[in-house]
Amino acid sequence: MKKTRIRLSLFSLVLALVLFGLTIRFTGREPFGVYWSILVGSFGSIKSFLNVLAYTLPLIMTGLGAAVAFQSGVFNIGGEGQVLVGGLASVIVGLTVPLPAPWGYLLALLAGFLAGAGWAVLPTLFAGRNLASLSVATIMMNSIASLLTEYIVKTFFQRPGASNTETMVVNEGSILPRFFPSTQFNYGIFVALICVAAVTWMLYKTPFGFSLRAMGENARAMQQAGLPIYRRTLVAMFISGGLFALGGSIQCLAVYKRFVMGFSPGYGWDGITVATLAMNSPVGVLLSAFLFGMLRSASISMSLTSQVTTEMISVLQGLIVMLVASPDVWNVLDHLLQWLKLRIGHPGKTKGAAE
Amino acid sequence: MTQCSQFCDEASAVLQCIDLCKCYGGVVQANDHINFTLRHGEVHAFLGENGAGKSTLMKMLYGIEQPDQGQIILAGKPVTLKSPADAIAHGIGMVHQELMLIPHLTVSENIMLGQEIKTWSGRLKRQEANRQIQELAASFGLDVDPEALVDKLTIGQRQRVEIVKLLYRKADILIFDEPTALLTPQESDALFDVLRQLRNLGKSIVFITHKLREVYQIADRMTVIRHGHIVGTTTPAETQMGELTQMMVGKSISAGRRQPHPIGSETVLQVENLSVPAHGGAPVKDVTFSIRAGEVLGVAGIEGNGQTPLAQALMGLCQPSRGSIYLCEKDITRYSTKQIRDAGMGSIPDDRQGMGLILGMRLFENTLLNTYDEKPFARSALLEDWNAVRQDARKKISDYSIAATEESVVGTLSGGNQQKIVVARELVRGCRLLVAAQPTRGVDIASADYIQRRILDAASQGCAVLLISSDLDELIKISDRIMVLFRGEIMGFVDADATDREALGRMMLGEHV
Repeated sequence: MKKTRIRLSLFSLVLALVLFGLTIRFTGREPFGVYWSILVGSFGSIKSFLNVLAYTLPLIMTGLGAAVAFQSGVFNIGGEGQVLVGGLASVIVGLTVPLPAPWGYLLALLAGFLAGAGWAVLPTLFAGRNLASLSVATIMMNSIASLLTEYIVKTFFQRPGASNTETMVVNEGSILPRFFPSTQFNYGIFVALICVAAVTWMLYKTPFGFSLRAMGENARAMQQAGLPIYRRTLVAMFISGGLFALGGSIQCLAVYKRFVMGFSPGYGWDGITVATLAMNSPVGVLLSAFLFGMLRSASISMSLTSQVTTEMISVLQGLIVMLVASPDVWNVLDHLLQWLKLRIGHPGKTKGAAE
Repeated sequence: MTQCSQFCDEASAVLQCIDLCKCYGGVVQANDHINFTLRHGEVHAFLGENGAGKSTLMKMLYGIEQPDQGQIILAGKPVTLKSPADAIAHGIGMVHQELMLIPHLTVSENIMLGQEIKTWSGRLKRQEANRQIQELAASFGLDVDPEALVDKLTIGQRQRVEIVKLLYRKADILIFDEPTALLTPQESDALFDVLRQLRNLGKSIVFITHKLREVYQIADRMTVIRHGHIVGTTTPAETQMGELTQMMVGKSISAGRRQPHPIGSETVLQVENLSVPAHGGAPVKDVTFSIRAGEVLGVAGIEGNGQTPLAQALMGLCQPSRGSIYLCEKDITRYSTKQIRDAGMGSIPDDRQGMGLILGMRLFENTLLNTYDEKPFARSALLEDWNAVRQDARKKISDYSIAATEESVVGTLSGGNQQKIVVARELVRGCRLLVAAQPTRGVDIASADYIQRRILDAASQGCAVLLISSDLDELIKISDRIMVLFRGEIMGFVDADATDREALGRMMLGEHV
């Protein structure tokens, strides 16, 4: 069963690339040129590869956050707000608590985690035991987070003379170090890998994780087996929100070294996509986050070399999600593919590009 | 038993199936070379356990599924039925177990739906329709009120509306899929009168059931199906009930009541003046009863008369509005489900797939739902011992002869095996009280018998049992006393040894005893 699910993700990817290629073709450009520039943009040099990894980091964290929530059957779509709140909390601690590295950035990360976790628990408390309204409550928290962070920055931490809404640079000890000054790739990778390992262990090795997964599969069965569903939902939200927030914290502490309004191009939303593509598996998140990091980095090089706008990358992301999230579409295509297999023998060059 | 030849009675045959085969997923042979003849003007019972292939055959006859091979012959001519609409056009109608009516429309609107009687401008001719429907119903001796809202009708009345709906569509062959599942004995009898009337007026009827008693009440001929094969066709006069059971199950099953066993003196469950609100169905109103150690208290009643809220209140899944519940003299009224379970209550929920199991997970995970955080399965808060879990699951599999491995995904198992997992999980904990709701619904006879015996075993070891069931035979077979619920109130208690079904039926309809 697991195998077919992985196959489904891979084939959706290939198919999305094919459809993407057609879309590009219809706009009058050369699809293979675009695929090529995606590859060059990602693997063309060590520097570009490291930049892809840097783009991947926040997506791993938000993907993990979404995966934990979805595996627990909790529809946390307030990730974007949690990213913002987490980023700001980390930066505030980084500005106000002068500690040497690593304590400085560890404390800032912890603050980010807790802030995001709290930001996720809040709507859960508002929604109360009526868990159906939880997704609405979380989504509303996104706008609140966006406006609230802007207000806090402007009122208390605005850097004098800056045209953007942004804070001062955080204390030296609170900056999450980069490996090489010339790329954005940073120590966040340790945070990400530790979190992937910890979440994997939690979900699959601990009794608590089992209760979360079981609740995600069938909450009513777990309720009648004696699990306090509401309390577990709160805990799941806490963990999920914290992980989302770390995505924001890493980005703020390592890349910008401050809080800049609008620093997140939608990491929280992308996290949902990343988790969906990964079928909510923590290790899968690692891979699909990398893919999305690649696309994000490519969108920049693409707009330079292929005269394709960066928005086209969103088209590709949308196609991927649509195909992964709708298995019925896939069933139809399965038959088509069987037929194609018989006719052609091999599915074509696009598969190489995907892998 | 005579193996009826398919071709001996072609003259009176209205419907013939010749070598029908249907496979699902290329592996499961749901129907294997089915040969079957329906004669003009007969009630033909189709008997088989759950999963024997009855529904598959009926789906093919009604155009929902298409046969892989074989032919369906209607009035001498081969036909292909591509859809239910096709089947109806050929005069085949079906009354489903879950009735397919729209509750907020009137009887005549439901009956006309899709074949409305209209003026040239498209307006409904309501009067005209009502008159036609009433006439049609009357000509078959059926009594329906065309203006009534379906919402307000009893299940028995709704079934009659379904029948008129088929007659309105000029069906000559009527297929009934377990029509008595939700009826009281009295309502069933009324339905049988209707069926006889239809038969006498020249309709041919296929009657699907797994209740033997009914077959002897109504059927002219009966066909037994097992594992997708026709075992044989016979008549009630030719075959005894015991023989028929053997045909269905393939081996003989001990029928009859349980062995009496001593009932302890200790009161395990004491329910006092309990009232529980309900979402849909009747709330529980002021019920008082008690169960002693080793006693099986049956709860009879038509579904929706308070059984579900009662069971849920006992399990702490919903809060009673009044009254108290004592388990072994401890007040558990305000306990959480977890605390209630720890106090020694086990529960087999009536909605097996929705509440009893996690269908997407594996068997060993499903045996763990109530004990995942207990030793020896949880070695510590940070480590689940999956080997111990698997080992325990294997033990349960062999103890309960579940036809699966510990790695099987539960959703792929048969109803009987699924239910055995639930029973194994709930009983193994050595509970003081078992609340078993519909423990054998949708379960094959052999598994049902096995589950009943396990429940009785638990009782003889001192476990008190509250058995909620809509199957009167089951209640009479394994209860010591039977409590009858009607609209959430207790109509009375009867001794299971001395009861007669008629009296129970009257109580289920609201008569005090």
